[in-house]
Amino acid sequence: MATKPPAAPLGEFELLVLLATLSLGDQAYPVSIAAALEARTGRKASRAAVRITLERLEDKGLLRSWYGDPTPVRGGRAKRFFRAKPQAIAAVRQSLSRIRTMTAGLESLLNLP
Amino acid sequence: MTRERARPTRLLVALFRFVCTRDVADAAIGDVLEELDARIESDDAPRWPSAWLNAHVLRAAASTFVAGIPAALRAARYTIRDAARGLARSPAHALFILGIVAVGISAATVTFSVVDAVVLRPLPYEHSERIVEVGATTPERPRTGLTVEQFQAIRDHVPGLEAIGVSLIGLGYDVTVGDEAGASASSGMTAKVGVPNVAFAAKAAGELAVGHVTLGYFKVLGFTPLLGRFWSPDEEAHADAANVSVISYDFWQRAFGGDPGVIGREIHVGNAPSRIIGVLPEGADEPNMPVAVWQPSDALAQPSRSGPFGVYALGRLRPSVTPAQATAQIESAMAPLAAAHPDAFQNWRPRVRSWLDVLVGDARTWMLLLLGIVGLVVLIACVNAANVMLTRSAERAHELAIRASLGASRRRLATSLLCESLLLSIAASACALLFSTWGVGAIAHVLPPLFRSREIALNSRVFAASIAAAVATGLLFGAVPAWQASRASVTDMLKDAGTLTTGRRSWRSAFLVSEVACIGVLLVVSTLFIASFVRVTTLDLGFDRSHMLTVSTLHGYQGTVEDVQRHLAAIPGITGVAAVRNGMPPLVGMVYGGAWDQTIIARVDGRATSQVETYRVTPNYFAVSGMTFQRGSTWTADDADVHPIVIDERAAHALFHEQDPLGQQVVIDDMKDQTFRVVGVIPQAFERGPDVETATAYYAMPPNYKPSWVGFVLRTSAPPASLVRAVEASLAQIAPAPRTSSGEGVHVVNDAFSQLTARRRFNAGLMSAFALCAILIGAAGIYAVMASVVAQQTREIGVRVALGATPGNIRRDVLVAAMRHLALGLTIGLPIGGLLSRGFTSLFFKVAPTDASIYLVVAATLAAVGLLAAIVPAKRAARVDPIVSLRAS
Repeated sequence: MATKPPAAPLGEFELLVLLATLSLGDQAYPVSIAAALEARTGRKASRAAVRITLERLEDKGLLRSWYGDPTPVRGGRAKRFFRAKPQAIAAVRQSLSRIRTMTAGLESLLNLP
Repeated sequence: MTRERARPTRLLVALFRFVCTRDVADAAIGDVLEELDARIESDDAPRWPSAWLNAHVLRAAASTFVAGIPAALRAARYTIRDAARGLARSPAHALFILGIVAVGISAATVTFSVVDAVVLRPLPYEHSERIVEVGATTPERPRTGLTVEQFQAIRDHVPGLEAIGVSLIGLGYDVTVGDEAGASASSGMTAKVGVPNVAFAAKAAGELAVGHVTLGYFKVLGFTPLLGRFWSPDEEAHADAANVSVISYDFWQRAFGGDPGVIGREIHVGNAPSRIIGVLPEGADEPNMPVAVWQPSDALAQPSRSGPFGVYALGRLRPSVTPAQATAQIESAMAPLAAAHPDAFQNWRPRVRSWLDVLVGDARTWMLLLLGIVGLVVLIACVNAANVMLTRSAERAHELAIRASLGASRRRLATSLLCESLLLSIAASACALLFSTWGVGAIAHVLPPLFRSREIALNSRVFAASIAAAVATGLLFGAVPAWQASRASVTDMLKDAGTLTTGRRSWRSAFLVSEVACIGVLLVVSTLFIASFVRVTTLDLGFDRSHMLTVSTLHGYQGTVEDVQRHLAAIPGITGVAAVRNGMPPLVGMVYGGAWDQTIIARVDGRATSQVETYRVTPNYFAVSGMTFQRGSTWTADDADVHPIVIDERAAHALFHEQDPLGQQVVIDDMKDQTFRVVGVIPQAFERGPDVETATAYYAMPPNYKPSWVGFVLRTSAPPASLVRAVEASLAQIAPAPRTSSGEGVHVVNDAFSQLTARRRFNAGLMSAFALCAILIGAAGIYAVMASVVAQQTREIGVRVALGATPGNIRRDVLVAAMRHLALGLTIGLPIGGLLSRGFTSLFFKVAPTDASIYLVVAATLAAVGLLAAIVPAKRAARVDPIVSLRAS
């Protein structure tokens, strides 16, 4: 049975954060996600905004979080890692599908492949 | 070289951990630290790393808090639901707390509504905090007026004053508007006739207040005319010739129906016609006296007078100028005048005081004391409620343990208990507001005359204060029980369910002791007020104020004093009539207005003098007033040739010390051609009221004055109030002229006494109510605590009984425990009450905070109440059956 996506569609920033989380795998935490977003999209996102978005996605049931071991570089404080749940993949798929549907026929205008 | 790592401040970390969980906060702070390290390694370090770090941690905490608000609101719904269910499970506890907190908040709300209206609320003018009264002060008169020259110097040479004006409204200036003379003087367009509202005209034939002010007064208060204009400086300088008036908005509406063509119409103030040139906007009025008509004051054109009859000016300070700076500027401005008249300026100092302070007067001190006392009542209620909550949280330990074992966090449990307290206090506040609507109406009837007392009402400020009080009291009585319940371990809670842990017992004892201490403080202060009132009302005034009427000043009567005496004595129910001149009849002068002559009395040999008040009386004055003689007696017709005089005991002591004053000769400063012989000595008579310090007094025969300058004292056999109409009717037959001021007419002396002691009566009544509330709350608190002690120690009591303790032992132990708390509370509370009262000695009468009997009364009252409250739990403890209690455990 296919996993049901959430009722509320993802926002643009939520979609980007989810995609970054998926791509980082077990190393997804606010600092690395913010860095990935900046590196790949050029969009400078604040760490606090990323963290709040991750917590919101966790509340929506798309992510789960756990705490790593404390590391000296962070003043002895643990990292809070996030991992996508199957519902997240369904939600991303649904969002991308909507975008594809809306861009159909506009490829030449938007100069899309 | 290793650089020291930047760290966020502890306060910020604590704040962050407060708005979310510790792990979430630490991880977020770790993220910030990691980013900082990354920037330092990539040579992009912030200029001030520590500031950067703290700013980013603060930002993270703020965004977490904001993001958490919707979830918190959702959670709050469930928290409130759980709290409501928790309260519903124990309705008796809830109602008990609701009742005592509602009583406390009601008392506080009513008191605050009075204090706010009278003392705290600013005056209704723009930047009213800058309005000041400008006068003078001397060692003899703390508050006195300015001369016209001084006023002009201040007006022209004090840069700190934006405007300054003169007003005579404060002196009370009532006139009739629209009299018959006015009506007949012109063709139906003036005053009473010109007023289109006939019903109002009839009403206005009474008294309306008229203000005589200078233009500066309007500027000080920030008034601008709604219609027309103010008078010009030229019209002000020739006020009598100009005959112009500005009327108030209210008068314009009521008398002219808001007619926009009112400018130029004529009114009569008394008999003088006046032309309306302007109308003031709505609300532009004196703060405590509606003024109908404003006219230019000629105070500055009058010959200059000094002292209390001088000018009291009203000024507006410039922004950022303080009264002290203005005072210094006035002193500089006075330098030329002081150089020209050094005698007049000896010991003279300008006096610049906030107008609100001047209007409120000495009511501020006792009003704020009342607010403090009612705060104490609320505190007592809170401590009591906290104790009940603490006991209840022990009884709910099992339920809390289960919630904790199911995963409820410590914060969640504490929040839930705190929420119960807040729900109770908000419900209590709602009840209190209902009670207060009645209470505010009731207190307005019993209040003594006070500034703005007509404005006392439940308004938005009082409402906001009541809600703030509710939240504060909820937090106050909920905090400790919530904290105690949340810090216990699950195992302890399950093990000790139904009993108090050691921590809770300590808190409960501390609460009970502090409650008794607070009640002790309150009772000391209230007892001092009540004792003052009792001593004022039972003081021997030196005359008999019961069954006494007075008649002041008859206008238009041409006969003799004896004629009036005979006429009044013929009224059924009147048993004696005496006359008094120079001084006023007893008590009424202080209430309805009067003046006293003072002079110097001296021994004929000049070896001793005394300042005295003059009373020229008929020989039966002493008998009619109920004055008794210590020595000698009144004079008779045979004494007329020797100028007999009666002096009071203080004058006798000042003049003759231990010598016998009878037969001694004295002279009086303003009648040095006569020598008086002392024929009698009377005790001090408090003719101006029990708490008014006066000079000594002498009584001598009256010269042959007209009755229009004489007051009469009437002794009645029937209740004096029932004879007022008969006396007025009788007077109307011989002196038909109307009253011209409110101080004249027929008065019941006991009514005057009631008015003179109104503030003390109010204080004593209110303090009695507060004391009663505190005693009842305290008794309930002691009962509740001792009952819970007995309930939770049933097993222990059972064991003791099984080991041979008698019911008498058990009963005594419970009572001793209660008395121990009482004794400790009184040991703390009584000295604090004594210290606090020392700051308010001016409010007490012939009783001092050092009076040991006050403390004995308070201690005995509280001990008796405490014992009574503890008797029922003690009896219950004595009835514990060891078999039943041990089987149950």
